[in-house]
Amino acid sequence: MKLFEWEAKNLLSRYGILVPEGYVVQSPADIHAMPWPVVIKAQILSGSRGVAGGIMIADTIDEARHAASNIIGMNLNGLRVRRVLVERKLDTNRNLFLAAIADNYTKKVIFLASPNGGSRVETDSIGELVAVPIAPSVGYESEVATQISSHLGVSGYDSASIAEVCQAMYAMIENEKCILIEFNPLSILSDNRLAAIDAKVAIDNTCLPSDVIDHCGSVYLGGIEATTRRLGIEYIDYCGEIGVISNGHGLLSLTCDIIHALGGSVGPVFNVGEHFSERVLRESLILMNRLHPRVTFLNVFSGFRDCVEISEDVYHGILEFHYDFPIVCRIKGLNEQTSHEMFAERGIDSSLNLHEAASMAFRYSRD
Amino acid sequence: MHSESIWNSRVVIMCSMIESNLLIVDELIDFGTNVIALISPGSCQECYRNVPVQRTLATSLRKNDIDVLLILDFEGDIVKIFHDTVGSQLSIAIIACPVSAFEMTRILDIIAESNLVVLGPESCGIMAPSRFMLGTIPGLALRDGEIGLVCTSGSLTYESMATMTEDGLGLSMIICVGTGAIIGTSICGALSCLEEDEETKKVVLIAEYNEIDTEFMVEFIHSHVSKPVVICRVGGSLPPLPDKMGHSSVILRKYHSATRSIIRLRENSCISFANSLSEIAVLLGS
Repeated sequence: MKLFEWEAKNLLSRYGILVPEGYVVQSPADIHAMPWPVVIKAQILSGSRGVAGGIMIADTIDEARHAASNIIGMNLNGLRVRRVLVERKLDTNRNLFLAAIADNYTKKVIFLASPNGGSRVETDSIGELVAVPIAPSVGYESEVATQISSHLGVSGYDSASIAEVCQAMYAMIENEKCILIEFNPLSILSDNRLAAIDAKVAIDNTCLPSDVIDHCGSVYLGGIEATTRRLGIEYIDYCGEIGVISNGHGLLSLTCDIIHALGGSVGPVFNVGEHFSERVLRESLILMNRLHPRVTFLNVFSGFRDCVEISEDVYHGILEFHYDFPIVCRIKGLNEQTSHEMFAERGIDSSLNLHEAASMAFRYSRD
Repeated sequence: MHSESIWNSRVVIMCSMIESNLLIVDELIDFGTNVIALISPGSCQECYRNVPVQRTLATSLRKNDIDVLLILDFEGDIVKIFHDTVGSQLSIAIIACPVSAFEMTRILDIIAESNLVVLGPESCGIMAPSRFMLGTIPGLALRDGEIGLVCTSGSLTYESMATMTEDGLGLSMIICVGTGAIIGTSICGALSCLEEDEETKKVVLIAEYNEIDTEFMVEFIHSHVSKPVVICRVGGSLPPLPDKMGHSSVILRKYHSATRSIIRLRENSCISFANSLSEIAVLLGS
């Protein structure tokens, strides 16, 4: 699960990593006076925000509110912007790149660093990058930071700061199940302090401890996002018309591909996870009802769970939550035929064939 | 991981004795999988369907010769569980439940010197419809055939199996490598297994866009797989790439690409790309 930038920065602060002073707002009116200039940043789970017009600089409160009103509600890289981060713009002397990532190729945690922070980093030659793998049996050692500092060409106070940041990053990987912590840039400020100006943090999808959510300050998300975080449901707010609920990211992606191939557009999506519970499924239906896409497409491949049980949960959910928009169900697995017939008897659109079910959902989206 | 050695494996299943787990145990026993023990630390049961229920893996390893460990869920420290396997003759461990990337680094480090193959986390296992079943692959009405399937997440595996069967394709073996930032056996390991499997004549690889480095995969297949391969990548339609691991994933890819030794290409390899699951049958000429 990827954290929003402001969540990531809350988490970093808890681990003693300096981040620019700032706060997140959902409405331009909530922007209040602070040392100017500020940076207004769209909070979406996607890169290239600056290029797409999702990052602006403001010198006054009016400019800040104007920028925020332009950004909130935008369709940025296919995602709806619901919040902006208002952050103090800091004076920087040098911009570095520093990251720690769980690398499936080496099966290790690897630290990556480059003296060239910013968008150039991806085009750096290999010689400009340093990769320091961590031996799992040994864990983090101070030698890691020494190697990185030496490569970045920093010494003295800056080197000590790099060591503190690296150690904090490893603690986050160990304690908070982070699989990616990336600072681009990690800047040496004009007063020589080291600050994470931009940060990307991703947490292991498979085991999200609830206290991480508290550590990130996700409670301030409110509503749908706070609930999905708490239940471990992956939620992405695409801008289209067909809401999708699926179990497993792969199946969800496949479902979205089929909708797209039919000419439809995907709206809010929920991945309830491979081993979803009755509660998670019901909550997904409640949340989808609140988001109110033109149609909901529930595509679940249950494996060993009885489809009839799942269908009962779905049916009672639909009745209980007063669904007043179409829902198309495809529930495959144990006893799928009985479950399909049950839906048919109760007047709920259902098909066991993925293309057929997706086509039904597509037609509703065009009605 | 050789299919021949899997055939008559002695299997131990670690799980809590809840209904959903017992359904899987039932399915495996009914299929004919040689389940010799269950490990359930919190259970008072001594036996389930004539299979002894033991409390710890260490006890089970002492009492039995075990080839395969299937973990449906676990209590306590998963890393410690793998510590207990050191020195045993265990050849395959399938982790069907979630395990964090950090714990996976430690598990894979512990077993690095052994011959143990780990599938997962969140792997639904390995299955050959006419030969063996190890994992949580439900008893779909599969056709026996000559196509080997490699997949990542569980539900995507189920969906792929169902679609291929509906399209008239017969499967020789299915390997689900699982999903997560760090997994045990990689897609390459699974492809190598299918290359060695005599029943498999063609191979299908289904994964999400962000789960495979296509350039590397093509290079690997060209050098290690002589059988025709169809690759189907899903998730290409999604507007942004929310799972993209920042700049780091791009940098790492470049870094590994530069540090890998140059692979000698086979001349007779055949790779094609399917845009959807339904296109697989067309590309395989069925």
